[in-house]
Amino acid sequence: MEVSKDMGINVELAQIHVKPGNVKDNLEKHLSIMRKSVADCVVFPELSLTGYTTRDYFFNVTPSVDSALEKLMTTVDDIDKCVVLGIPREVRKGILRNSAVVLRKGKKPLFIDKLYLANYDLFDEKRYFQEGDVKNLRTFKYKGETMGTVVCEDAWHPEPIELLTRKGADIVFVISASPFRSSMIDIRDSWRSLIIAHSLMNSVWIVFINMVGQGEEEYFWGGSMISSPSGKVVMKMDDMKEETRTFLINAEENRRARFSSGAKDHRKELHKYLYHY
Amino acid sequence: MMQELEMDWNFVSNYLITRLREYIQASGKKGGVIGLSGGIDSSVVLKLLTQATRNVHVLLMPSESTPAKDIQDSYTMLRSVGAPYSEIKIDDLVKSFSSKVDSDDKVLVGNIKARVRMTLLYAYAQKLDYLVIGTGDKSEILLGYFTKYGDGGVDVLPIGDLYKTQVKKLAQQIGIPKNIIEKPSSPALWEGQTAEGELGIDYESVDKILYLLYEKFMDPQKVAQEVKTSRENVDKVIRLVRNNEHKRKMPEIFKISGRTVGSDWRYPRIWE
Repeated sequence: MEVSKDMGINVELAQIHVKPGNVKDNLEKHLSIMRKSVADCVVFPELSLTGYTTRDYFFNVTPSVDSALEKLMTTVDDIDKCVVLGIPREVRKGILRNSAVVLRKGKKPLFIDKLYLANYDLFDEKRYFQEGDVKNLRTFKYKGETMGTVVCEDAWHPEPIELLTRKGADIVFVISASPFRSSMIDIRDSWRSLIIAHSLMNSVWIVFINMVGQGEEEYFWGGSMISSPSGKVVMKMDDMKEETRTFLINAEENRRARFSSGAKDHRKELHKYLYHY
Repeated sequence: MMQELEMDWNFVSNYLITRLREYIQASGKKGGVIGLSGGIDSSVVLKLLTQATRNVHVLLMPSESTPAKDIQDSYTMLRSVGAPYSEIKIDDLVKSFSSKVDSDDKVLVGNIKARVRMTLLYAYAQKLDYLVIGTGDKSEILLGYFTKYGDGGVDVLPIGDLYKTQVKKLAQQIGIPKNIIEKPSSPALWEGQTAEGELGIDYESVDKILYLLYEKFMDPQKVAQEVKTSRENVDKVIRLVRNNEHKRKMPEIFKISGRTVGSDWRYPRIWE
């Protein structure tokens, strides 16, 4: 289906179960969803190629990511879509980063590394990953829209999404692998609040795409959602169910939301002072 | 129960049913075998299991110390879920083992009972190509109130992250009969044994103590005040949790190499 530019951009959220360490099967799932998609962009969760709870097997499996990426790029050239997925990226021998990669026809892959590694409670990312460079946090353009992506934990801090929107992003993808837990507050409620808050503060579309299914003790709860630039959850996928869903994002709504918000104001000196704390 | 331990029990039951179904599938096994005692934990897990898979086999393994009421309750549960079962009286096996050790110590014999049941469950699981579904809850696991390689010897613990008082809430949600929910919890390894009698503290208090100590990192003295119990009771819980840590771990391996199973060998259970 051809979508005209003034209608907006069609985004398909692939809320998938990922088998830890099984790049072959996970790659096949990506390719199959991409080929069937009628959307402009297809977005997958964090570490969608290898799984999140892959633990020490990251060391074994990362070498196979490059050839999988080549296969994905060939397919993207063929189907002409924008695809965002999550990989462990070996930036130099033995040094991995938890990255999002953006693939577009005829372009080099754009890598955006996770800045804040989750390393508390059940999370142990610093055992495997190096934190990313802030300078790599770049926006990208596709079909006339300016977009950005962050990885999971980066949405638990204000700055990464703020920076992307200051750089011009009207749509930000938050690719995630959030496991279910309910200690004092249900994690699903926390995520919903976060996503709405980012939308409101930045008058930006937030597309939260979560993994689903088991990974060790953990269970990725799915529940992917989209919040509009005025902070309304306009699409919510099922919890605990593997599914894909397409939503038409109209970036004109960013204009309307910004007319009615203080998002245009930004006191740079706050960041100067923040630097010291 | 403390407000903080309240949950959306409908979500929790759906979550556990989904997890059981997917865990059995991912393990490549066909279903689950479960030991039913007629108590709340095994009744809850049986009900969840029968909603997760059609392939369930129940073992009733009464001994002479099993109260008749528990056997009746087991049959009530079996009728309500309609699962196939086998009833195996274990006294001859237990006597055969204990005679070889030449002891009638009730705890020693009680542990033999739990391990005989584990052996039978694994034999049935192998015969049917099923997993052994465990029924321990978080309170028992933290206190070490189970037999190592007995009722602790299982493949998966679906309600192992729910305190006993939370299991009661879940039981109400999924329609477990009231008398099963309300009767005193007991491993029934010897006559008259009850969990709360042995611990000397009621589960309502034990769960609060565990939660405040280990999830809220609260000082023991403050915990005693908060729960309105004695400092001795709090210290007893601390002692049980600490002394039974070995039951929650795989056996310690003395490190020699650069990659030792257990310490720096960290793979997921299933990879590729």
